[in-house]
Amino acid sequence: MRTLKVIRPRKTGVMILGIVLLVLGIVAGALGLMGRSQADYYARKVKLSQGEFIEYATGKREVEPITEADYKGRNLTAAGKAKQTLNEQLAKVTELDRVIMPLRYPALIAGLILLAAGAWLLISHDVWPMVTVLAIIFYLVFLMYPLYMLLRQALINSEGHLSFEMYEKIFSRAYYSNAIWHSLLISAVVTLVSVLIATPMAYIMSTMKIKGAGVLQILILVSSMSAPFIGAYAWIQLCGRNGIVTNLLASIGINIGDIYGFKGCVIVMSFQLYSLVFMFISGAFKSMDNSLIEACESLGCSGLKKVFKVVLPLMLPTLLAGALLVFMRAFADYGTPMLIGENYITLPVLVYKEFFSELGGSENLAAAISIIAIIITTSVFLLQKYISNRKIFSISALHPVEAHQAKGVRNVLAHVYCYVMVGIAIMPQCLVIFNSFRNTSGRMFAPGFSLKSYGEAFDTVSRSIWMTYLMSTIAIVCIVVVACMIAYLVVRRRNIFNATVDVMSMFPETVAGSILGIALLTAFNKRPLLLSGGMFIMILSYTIRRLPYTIRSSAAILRNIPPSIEEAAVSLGTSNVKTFFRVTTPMMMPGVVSGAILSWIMIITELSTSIILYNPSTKTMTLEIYSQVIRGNDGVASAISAILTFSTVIALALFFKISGKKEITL
Amino acid sequence: MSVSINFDHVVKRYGDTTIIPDLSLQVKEGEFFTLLGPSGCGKTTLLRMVAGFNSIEGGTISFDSQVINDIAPAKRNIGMVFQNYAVFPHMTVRKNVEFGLKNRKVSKEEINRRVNEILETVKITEYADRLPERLSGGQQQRVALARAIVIKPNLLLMDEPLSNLDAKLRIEMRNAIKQIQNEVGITTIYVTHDQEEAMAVSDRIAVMNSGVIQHVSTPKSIYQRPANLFVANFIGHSNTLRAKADVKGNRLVFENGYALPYDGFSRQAGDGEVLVSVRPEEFIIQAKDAPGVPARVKSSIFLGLMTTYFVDLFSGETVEITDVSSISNILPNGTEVSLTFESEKINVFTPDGERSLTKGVVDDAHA
Repeated sequence: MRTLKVIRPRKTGVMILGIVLLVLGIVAGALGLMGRSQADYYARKVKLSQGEFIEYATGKREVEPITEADYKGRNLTAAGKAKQTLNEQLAKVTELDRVIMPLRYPALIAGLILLAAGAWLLISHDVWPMVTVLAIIFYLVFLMYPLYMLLRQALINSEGHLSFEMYEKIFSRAYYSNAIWHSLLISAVVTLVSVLIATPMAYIMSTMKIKGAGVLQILILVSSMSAPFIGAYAWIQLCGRNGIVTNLLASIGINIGDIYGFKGCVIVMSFQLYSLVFMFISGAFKSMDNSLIEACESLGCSGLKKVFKVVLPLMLPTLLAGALLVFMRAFADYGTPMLIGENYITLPVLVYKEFFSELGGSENLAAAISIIAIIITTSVFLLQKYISNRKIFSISALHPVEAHQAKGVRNVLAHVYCYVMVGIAIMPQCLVIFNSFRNTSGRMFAPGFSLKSYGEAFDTVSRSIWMTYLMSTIAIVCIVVVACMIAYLVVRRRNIFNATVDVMSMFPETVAGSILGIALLTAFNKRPLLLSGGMFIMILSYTIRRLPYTIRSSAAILRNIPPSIEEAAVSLGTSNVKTFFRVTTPMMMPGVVSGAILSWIMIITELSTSIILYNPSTKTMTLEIYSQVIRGNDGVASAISAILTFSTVIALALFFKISGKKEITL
Repeated sequence: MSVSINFDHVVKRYGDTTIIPDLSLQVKEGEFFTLLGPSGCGKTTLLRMVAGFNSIEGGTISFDSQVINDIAPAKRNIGMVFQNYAVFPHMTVRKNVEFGLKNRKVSKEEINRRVNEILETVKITEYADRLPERLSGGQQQRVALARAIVIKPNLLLMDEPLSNLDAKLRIEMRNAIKQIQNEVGITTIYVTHDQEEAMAVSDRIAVMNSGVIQHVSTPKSIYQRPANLFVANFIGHSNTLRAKADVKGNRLVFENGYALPYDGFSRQAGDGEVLVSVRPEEFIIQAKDAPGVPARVKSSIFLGLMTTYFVDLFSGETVEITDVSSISNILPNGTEVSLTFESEKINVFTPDGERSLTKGVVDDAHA
């Protein structure tokens, strides 16, 4: 791929100056904001103006000592109490606070001026170095710093020394080490089962005519896009201790045992996640060249032998990519093991319990386990990349594989297989939608149908519905803007800095959602760097987590746009920035937006990060479903789930409309 | 091991559309036979029917005397070379070439011997252990050819094998293919839309249009004595002029009254309107007062060996004429000239262009 080279007079000095000013501006601005926030915080506590408190803090004014006059009997008077509070708060003021608080406004103004000056210097030369700098700062602050803090927390003991105390604890107690083992086992088994279900299905649907294949594909898509734990919830309703199927079978004397624990996790996750592998392999069949299969047959090799010698080896990279995605999702899933795993504790559950437990949990321990999780997922990710890169082949599909009408038993078996597998996968959605329309009485379902559950959902939790849409939409706008720019940097302006941006932006893909949540919380949960507890950190986490996918799809689109188009624009006298916004962006938009819609679906159905970062005012729909399920409020839970599913379906329809595609490649 | 192939009233239909209405054809043993025609004429469809990748809706195709309609592709013992080569990207060159032999339970030594031999023949021995992605298009094509030939097939099928190569490589590869086919001596059916390529490689060519065979003969015969106007225009370039045939008088009378002495009429020819097909090199340009068809030079292109003139006839048509370039000046635009024809080379057709009225047409399809 050629990179776009615009020959201009070199102004390295100006550029470096611009970058320095920009960075200084950001630092000064951030300190100013921090100073203001601190001053505001203390001033509120002591009920003084910010200015007055700063005078006390910087020693310009002394707090009068508490004298006899401040006592009324044995109790302090109001004035005495004020003095006491002031003293308490002054003791908390750090050296940093003392510096930044008085300088808060000058720093803020200086920051803005420096920022503007730096930006102007850079833009007057070329806009992209500034984007590079901003992207690097963004990832350093909001990804690398939190991960560093997480690592620090894992390795620094209470005395502030480096120690492996936490790891000794983890590996010496079965309760902790088992969770690691459980997670690995579940992820591996789920991956294997998913591949075993999906591969034959993709092969059948690509090579044989299946009635209603279009509908099946949409159902598969919907099932893969649903919130992870809804599957667990539905399976419990069917086969749990008091499940419909369990009771039905028990009434005729059959005991199916229970579904909780390892078994349940594997069933629920496999049937939800095999669709990912299916979509990957179906996509591979679309790009597979039928001539290869014909060449194989004309050389006397057909049937299963053909599949194993030619079809599967060529599919391997795709298969692995799908399998990796399943592994990552299974590994990161928090809701499913929480609901159906019971005593079978997995890593994300353990991390959550340790981090938030009021009964002797340890944030350090949670951090230590998180680091283990990151190491595991990153290793699996790298391993998959390594194998795929060695086995990837480009095939020019002149004649794509076509579906043929099968005859007799083969045809019947193929249909049965596809219908049953898709049926099981979509069952949770159907059950939940069905339940959402059932009549309720209190928390129990009553005979008949009604919209009562929806009414109750809108009455009690309309805020979380609204918040979900608001936060996910803001996040998606951020994602689209940032992804377009980073994709442009990575594809068109390749250099070492942009390669760094590329690597950093892809890293969140290997970090499970709950772990990223913990890292953000570790870094930004304490004054003066307090960002948690609001919408900002939720949107931030959604953005960081969904950027890799959107950047990758945007970069792929950009690679298909020949640089000559931009060169043409530049040669016609358009500036770089204008070229990007007037020529490149419009060409990328349909692809980017359709990619963003998929990201949006993933955001509204995500649980693991939100459950760590939310506070009551930023509760999302998935969190609401989760807490309603825990409370046994099945009607409301079903209604919100159904709303979520409808949103997903509408978004998918929009996706197909905008992209003009017939299937989704992940 | 080569076979002759007999197409007997073959029909191909996709749903309600008939691609090949009724086609009969014989390919001789050891022959290099080409199906030539514009895209969509059904040539690839026919080839894939032979290979077994398309069903046959009517008639029979037989190898020697064995009808192969219902034999699975894997059992037909056919070597096939695909348009995009279809070299297995995950196997080395050697593995690719071995692939067919391994399915045939040939002993290990035998496999080795035959693979080495064929790699030598197609000149890719040095790349034996490379993966296809590290080969050029031409080299991949050689692998595909070696893989198809090494199994000693009864029949070699090639589906536009050179269309993905650049012009220079295409010429090099077509010579290589011709030479290798000569050495191995396998009956070969070759599909192309490039008439020059077809003439360069084939023993015989079948020109197809809309699923119907127009003319089957040797390259020379097809070029010089095309069976109908479609063939005359598709193979090479032809200008078509209107004239009246005077069979008894052995002359062709053109619209301006110029009478060209012509003794090439076939027995079917009768007096009346005809179409005269003249290739660009079959014109003779004379000074304007010589007897002939009057014309004026509109423009010219100097191509080195030849010079092409675009010349307006007085009847209003523009014809293309090529002339061997000479040291003397190119005729300037606007020069008035008089045109006559090399009468032994030109072809005369019925007014509908369906039949040739020139003697010496050899057509194996309608013999």
